Amino acid sequence: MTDHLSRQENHHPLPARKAWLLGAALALAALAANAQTAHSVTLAWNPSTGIPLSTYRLYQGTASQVYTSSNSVGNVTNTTVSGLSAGTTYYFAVSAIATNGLESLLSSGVSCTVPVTNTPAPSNSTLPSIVLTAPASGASYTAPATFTISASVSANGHTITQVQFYNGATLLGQATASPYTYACSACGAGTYNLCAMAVYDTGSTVASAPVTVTVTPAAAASVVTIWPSTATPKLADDGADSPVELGVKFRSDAPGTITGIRFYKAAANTGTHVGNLWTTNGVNLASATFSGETASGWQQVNFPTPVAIASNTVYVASYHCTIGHYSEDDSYFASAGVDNPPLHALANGVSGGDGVYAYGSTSLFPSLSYNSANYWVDVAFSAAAPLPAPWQTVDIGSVGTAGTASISGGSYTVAGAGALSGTADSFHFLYQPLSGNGQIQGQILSVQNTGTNACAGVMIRETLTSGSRYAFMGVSPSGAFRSSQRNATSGSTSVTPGGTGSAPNLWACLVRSNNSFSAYQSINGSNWTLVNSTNITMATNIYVGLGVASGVTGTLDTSVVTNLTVVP
Amino acid sequence: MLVGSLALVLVLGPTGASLHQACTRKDVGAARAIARCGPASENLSDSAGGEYRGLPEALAETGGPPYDASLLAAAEKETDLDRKGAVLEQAAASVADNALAAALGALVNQRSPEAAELRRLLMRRWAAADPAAAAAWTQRLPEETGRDLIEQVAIAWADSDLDKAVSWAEALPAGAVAQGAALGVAYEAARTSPAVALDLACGLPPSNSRDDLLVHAASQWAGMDPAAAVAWADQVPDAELRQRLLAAMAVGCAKQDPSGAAALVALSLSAGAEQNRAAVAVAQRWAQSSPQEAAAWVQQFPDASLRAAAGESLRALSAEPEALTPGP
Repeated sequence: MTDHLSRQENHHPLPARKAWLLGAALALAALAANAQTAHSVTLAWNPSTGIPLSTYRLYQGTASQVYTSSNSVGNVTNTTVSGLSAGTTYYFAVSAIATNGLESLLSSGVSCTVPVTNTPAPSNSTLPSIVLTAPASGASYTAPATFTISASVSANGHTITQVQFYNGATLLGQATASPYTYACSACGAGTYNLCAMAVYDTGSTVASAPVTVTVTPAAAASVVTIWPSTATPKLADDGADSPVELGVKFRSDAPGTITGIRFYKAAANTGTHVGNLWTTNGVNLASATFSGETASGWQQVNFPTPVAIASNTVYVASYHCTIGHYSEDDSYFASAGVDNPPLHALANGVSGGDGVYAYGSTSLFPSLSYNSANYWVDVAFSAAAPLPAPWQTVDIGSVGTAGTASISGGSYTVAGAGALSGTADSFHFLYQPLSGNGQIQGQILSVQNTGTNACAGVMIRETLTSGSRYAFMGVSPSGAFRSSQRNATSGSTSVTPGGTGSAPNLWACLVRSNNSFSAYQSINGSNWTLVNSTNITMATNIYVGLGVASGVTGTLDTSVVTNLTVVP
Repeated sequence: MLVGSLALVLVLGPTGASLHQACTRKDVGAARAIARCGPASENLSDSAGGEYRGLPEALAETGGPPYDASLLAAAEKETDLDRKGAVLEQAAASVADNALAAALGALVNQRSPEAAELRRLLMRRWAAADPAAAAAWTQRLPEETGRDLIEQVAIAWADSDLDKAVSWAEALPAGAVAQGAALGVAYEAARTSPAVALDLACGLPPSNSRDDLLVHAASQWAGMDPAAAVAWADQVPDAELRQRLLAAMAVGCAKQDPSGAAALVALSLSAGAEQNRAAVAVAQRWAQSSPQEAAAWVQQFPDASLRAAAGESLRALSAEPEALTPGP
């Protein structure tokens, strides 16, 4: 009846695509333990569909993902396992066996701990029951994670003395009074099989169904520079000179942020130094004065706020010095740049001359180049985490400067140039598909003040072209709500002003019901006011997301949205 | 039309091979006749500067532009974009229906962005009322201006008579103007007749714009006839484009047939970002009809971070009890 496996089954990571495909086709559901007594457990699973099955196979073990036995249970969707030992945690998973013999991947596992019954409860009474109400099964957190385990207990006439919380067989803590909760803090990465056990009367116990949560490792934020700190110029000190700005043109393969500017300092290069980041058309994106410099070698200043940069877009990093004595290696960029992916210092000619300089008593855009010289200016770059699926990001229309978008910890940061106006838009769009009816709402934490025409908010848009039909509900930097729309492709934009609020208490919502679009505003996320309702004929499969426009081509506006929910 | 589209896509190549030769063309004789309804052979362009030399009769007769020049001047000075748009709407409304051609003629050499915007508004009105005449007039313009305004004609014509708009767009001389017209017509067609849009798209040279249009139209088609759409996309030889098309189709049909969409994602898409995005999007739609089945499918995702992202999406959906009803 029972097959004993000679090997330890560890099914994670799964063997990539082929096995997943079979499992997906079978659509095997996760197990759910829905009944438990002292010495048996009943397990149920959703039926597989699409492929004829001969049987399901139940796997069992006493360690997570290590299954030491399995047996066929027939073409059924539940089974009861008996003969379990009190106090032991058992782990189960199930697979589906097709009639052609192929076996699916294992389902996700479930576990349960058989309670130790110190004193049997009266057989003629209703036992207490306990269920974990939080976290949700399958919840995922990023380490170091903090979450609260909550249990709901129905005493059914018994006296509940305490509720114990377990991760597998490990006791995490207990609560002696309702609400029965336990706060997990600083939880490391891993899978947590959570269970709560109510202790009642004179020591009898009853356990909840287990809940599995995952804590994933936090992504390491590594800073990348073009040159390592061990790199040194051939000519560290080019002698005295007038005040001058010296720079390098660079690009990144990936979006991210420039956290600071670096330069190589000769001992005689004293005085105040100011680091700058520019677009190639001379817009200053950030500036900071170096402090705490060492006598010589690489120096770095960090911007108060890291500057988001787009991928594959050329920028200029520079610093200003007052007395010369800068480093200069002639012909350095003459035939090649410097590649330290994702960063690339450009070879001369790729985007005009490189390196670059400009004389002036204060910081100014370095637009000149001479002899492909490297002045040993560098950046500190932190790559943006990839957008979680299904989000994508794009510049719509002619924005002048590439926008960016990032999602971290529930905050959606979007930087966009251009304007939502006229017969064609230009802005940055963080979006995902919307099929038919749907909704998006979010709290607009901040809108950078780049002028009266700047705006940030939620958008439903038919296409990714600049003249697309759309509905938008957002706010201006002053906190004025505004709904705007384009009812006809490449037609004019109409605007409906709403009320006013102040960041961060600015909430916007758009609802699509067939071709009816309703725009709402709120200052608390609970009480909503309809700003505009209109009919716009759109295709069924369109886009929904966040739109940010600075109101000016070539200037980025960085806005932040949180508490974003999308019903796509 | 579906047969035509199928034949077209068979030659969609990855490196820009011409699609025109293999396109299944309709009888374009009528369309060419429409395209010739204006004096297309008349050369109105200045060979040096490309400016429009024709002086509209209305302008000559009245001695002034047939629009409110003060409103255009006000729009040019206005810095608030909302007010600027409103002023331009007023300026457009100041032109009588029978003076649209004259007003456009008077504006055609003005370089300000506001003048260009006013031209678009006026051309849209004209094209909505008489697309053939508007199209003929536009074809006489220098390419840059013509390309800007031809889109207005294409959209308006497609909205009023898609068949004639398609014939007209297909009969235009090859070039940027024709491509702009095809894009304009095709995006409008995609809303209700995605196969027509795909047919037009397949007549365009390879570009990001063409591929974006293909994906958009394919998504609509999948929502109407997923089997035919997938069979069509399966024959696209450009692997990257095929992935985009199939991903969009899976999402496009996921609300109607979530398990079929899931199978499409799993079986037809290669591992990678496109598959990941489609998988989560399909799971989101599946969860709206069957949260348990969607959750079970998500649990089978081999990538832990994707599984987590999808799980988070599903929890967000389930935690939105007042979906579609945010108002008071």
